[in-house]
Amino acid sequence: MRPTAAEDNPARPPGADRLGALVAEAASGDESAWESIVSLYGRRIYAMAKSRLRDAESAEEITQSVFATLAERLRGGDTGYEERGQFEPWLFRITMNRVRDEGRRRQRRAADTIPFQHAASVPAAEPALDGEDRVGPLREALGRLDDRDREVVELRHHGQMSFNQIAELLDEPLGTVLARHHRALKKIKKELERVEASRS
Amino acid sequence: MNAEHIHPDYHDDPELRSTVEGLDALALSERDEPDEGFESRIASATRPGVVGSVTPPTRRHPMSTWWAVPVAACVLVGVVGLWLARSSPPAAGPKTTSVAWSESDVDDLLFIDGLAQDQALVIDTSYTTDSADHQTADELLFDVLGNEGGAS
Repeated sequence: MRPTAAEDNPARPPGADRLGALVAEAASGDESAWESIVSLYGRRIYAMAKSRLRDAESAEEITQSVFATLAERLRGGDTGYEERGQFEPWLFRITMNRVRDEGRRRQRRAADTIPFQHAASVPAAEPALDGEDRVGPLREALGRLDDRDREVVELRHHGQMSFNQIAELLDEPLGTVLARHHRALKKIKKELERVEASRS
Repeated sequence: MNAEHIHPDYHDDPELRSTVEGLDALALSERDEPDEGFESRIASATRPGVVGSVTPPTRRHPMSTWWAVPVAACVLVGVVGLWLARSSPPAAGPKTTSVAWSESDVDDLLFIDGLAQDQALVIDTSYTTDSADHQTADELLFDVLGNEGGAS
């Protein structure tokens, strides 16, 4: 059974019409509208960047970079943003590109910083979830996914995007996205079970 | 392949429910991580109404320009070295050193001399590298050109 529209979008942002109006108001200089957009998407973008980069400062810089790009596009001109009801996929595509770029930059500087692909495996002092220390193994399991699977998981959970939006963003069929998400969850579950077994 | 048959409705997949909940909790913790001023910082720094174009902040790692200072130093040393190399070694006795000018420099000097004479200035084309009493050739040149309204 395919997820319904209501179930499919956990974040339930404003409807497409209202969002388009908000974007248009922000583009015209309405500060309140701009602040609303930042409130709607800022932390979601931050969470995606933080999940990848494992660095709060970088995550905030990436977030600011994304909104700076958005602001520049909204200011118009021929290269400006055109409202076509695809604001969220467009915004998160910018986010993904920024995060990928930073990840590649870190890989090139592998001698000076933690390698991007192994960032999740570095133990970090994290607050426990629900009284249990599950964050570390969960992060590590997420870090072991290949990039494409990981992107789907992060867009879904950190970015709170619907599967339809993810499919649109990645320019892939919905079924492919769903299958990839399912596969990724099974891999994470398997990895968590392996870690738990090794502890016992 | 029919997409409806290959994907689960994860809400109905009990085996993965705990994994989904764990990921949601992890993501929530990261969305909650920034302080209360986060949104206002981002909004203030990036709002479209800011005068002038908003460009993404460029984060430059110090290592990306590590070569700039050594290169600049080498260029400076090279320029100074070339400039000094044009002078003959200082002779014993008087500290003034005459400069071996090239042919093109003679024309320049004659032009400058002409300007100076118009300004009733006396140009000393000799210069010293030691004495503080004499201006360098560059300083003299700038003084003259400055009186003429600056170099074009």
